[in-house]
Amino acid sequence: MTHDGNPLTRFLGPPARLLALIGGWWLLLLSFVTCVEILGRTLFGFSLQGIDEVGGYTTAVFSSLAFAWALVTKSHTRVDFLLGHLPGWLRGVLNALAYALLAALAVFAAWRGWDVLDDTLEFDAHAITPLGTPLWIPQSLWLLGIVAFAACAVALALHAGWLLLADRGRLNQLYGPMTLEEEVDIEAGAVIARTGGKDALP
Amino acid sequence: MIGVAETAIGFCLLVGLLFLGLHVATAMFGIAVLGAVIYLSPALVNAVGMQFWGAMEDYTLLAIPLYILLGEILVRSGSTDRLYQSLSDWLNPLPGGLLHTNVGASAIFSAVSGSSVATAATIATVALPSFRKRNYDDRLVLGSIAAGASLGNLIPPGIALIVYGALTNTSVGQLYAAAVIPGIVMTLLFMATIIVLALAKPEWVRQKEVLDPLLVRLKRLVDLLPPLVIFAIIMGSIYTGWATVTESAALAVVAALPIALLYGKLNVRMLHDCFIATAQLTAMSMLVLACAFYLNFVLGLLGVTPALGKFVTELGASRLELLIALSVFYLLLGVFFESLPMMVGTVPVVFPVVIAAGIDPVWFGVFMVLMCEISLISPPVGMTLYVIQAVRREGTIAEVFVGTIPFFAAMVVMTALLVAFPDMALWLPRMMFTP
Repeated sequence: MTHDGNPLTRFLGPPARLLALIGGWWLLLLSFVTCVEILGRTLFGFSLQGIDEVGGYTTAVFSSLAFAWALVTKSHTRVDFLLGHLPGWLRGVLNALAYALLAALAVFAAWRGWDVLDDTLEFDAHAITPLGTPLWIPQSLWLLGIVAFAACAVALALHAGWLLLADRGRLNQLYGPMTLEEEVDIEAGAVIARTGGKDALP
Repeated sequence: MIGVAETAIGFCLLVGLLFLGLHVATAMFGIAVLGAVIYLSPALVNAVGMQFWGAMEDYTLLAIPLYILLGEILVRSGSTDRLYQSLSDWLNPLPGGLLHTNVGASAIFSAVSGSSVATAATIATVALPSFRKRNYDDRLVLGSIAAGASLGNLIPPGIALIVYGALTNTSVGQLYAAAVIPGIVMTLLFMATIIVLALAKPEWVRQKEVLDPLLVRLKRLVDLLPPLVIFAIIMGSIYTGWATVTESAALAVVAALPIALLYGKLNVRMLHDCFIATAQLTAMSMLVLACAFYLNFVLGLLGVTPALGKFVTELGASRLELLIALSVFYLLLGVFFESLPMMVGTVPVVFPVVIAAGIDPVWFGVFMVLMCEISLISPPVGMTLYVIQAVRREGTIAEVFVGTIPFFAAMVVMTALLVAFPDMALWLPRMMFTP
């Protein structure tokens, strides 16, 4: 979770986190099924069929369900090299711009994504595989992730836009690229918390 | 159809947008849309839904979240502390003492975790307290951790090679085979760097390490097993043909669970932490990748590949000249960029050039990943350096910068070796994949 006190991400965080957790359990389950498949194939000559197909859908659904979580934790990559050296007002404008454009991308992707699902539903499209999966199932889950992402992105962009007028300092604090502490916290926080101060060697 | 000039303008525009601090995904998508609207048809922009679905619905790419999850489980299992101790038992007699363990432990650990940043944080947390009580030059300690962590991408299995493979349609299995020997050579070069420094500047390494009795050390060897078992499972299952790259990752995830259980760290809360971190890093990479695929798609329609190919042929530059130019280009870019944006941002344009010049795509993958590693430790933008400093909580970041210089030099030597002896990367895949 972010520690920057953004009221909006505090509100959007828990549902976004839930989506990511569901994805995680699904990923673990699929790993077990894959092991059964590998063992069955190499030792007993049977195959579950279609793990790769389900795996492909999993990539799409797992990532799209996590887009929103990555957004509220400011994990979507930005290059902050120049930004840190700019004067505050310009940084504020660029931060607001970054979020406005990301929201535009997300809304556009959601709109075009709906088009994909709509076509699938209209033609009742099935995958051309042994499973013959009705494509609306994975595609609607995928779209759900993108729509959640778009909704969060729009909310954050509006908030950023409002702050640009009202409180620029807070804008740069809440919508600047991730600070180092936040980044360390995400990528290594657990390790540091666990072993911090403990010596490995005498 | 566009020419080289338009491509160059587009590329500069992309770099400019990135510098403005836009999200990497937005910048790439924006350039793709611009190219499509100006030179092709606005209708192409409407295809983005299908393009995104097509790019994201990919079984090979599932290896990315699976490897991240594997790394998260192993990081949280607590196996690192023990690995570090056991490795130091055997590396301490070398000139440079405990410094070698920084490189060795990072190399092993980052190989299975796939994230250089997580490795840097983990090894720094484990190693730094031990070094506080010893007589080593601070800068060398920091540099050796940063250098070791950067090995993560080169030693398979790594995320960077999967991303490269996906972007360029190159076999990830072959890429992994190609990276093995360069990964080992790079590790040995780092150790050689430490030995040379320890012999040339004895005042930097004044600590005499005392070894435990042989029996104790032999017993502790068991702590080297978890990462080695994981590594063996992954590489073994891929090269016996039992499993694809993605399947081997799933196998390793399942195998990592008993390890965490053995160390008493496996519980639902821990798993949830792993899932959250995995989701975050996966979403971050996949959004950028989806936009990169769309940019690739537009560039393909724009005829950038033949245009650049013709340009390179007309330029008449030799393979060596081209590679030197590319090395310099990436070294400069690496100063400002982290590895993912650097690779994803440049590969769509650079790859056609490289192919036109007759360079092997598998070899170039290894080269590209080496460039990414250099970018990770080249200041002032090098995430691993800042992570190490954050764990350290004393001194200045400048000391970390200085400490990486000798290892940076070793990487430049490595780049030269890789260019001079392409077989370093190509021999193993040839042995494994040609009947």
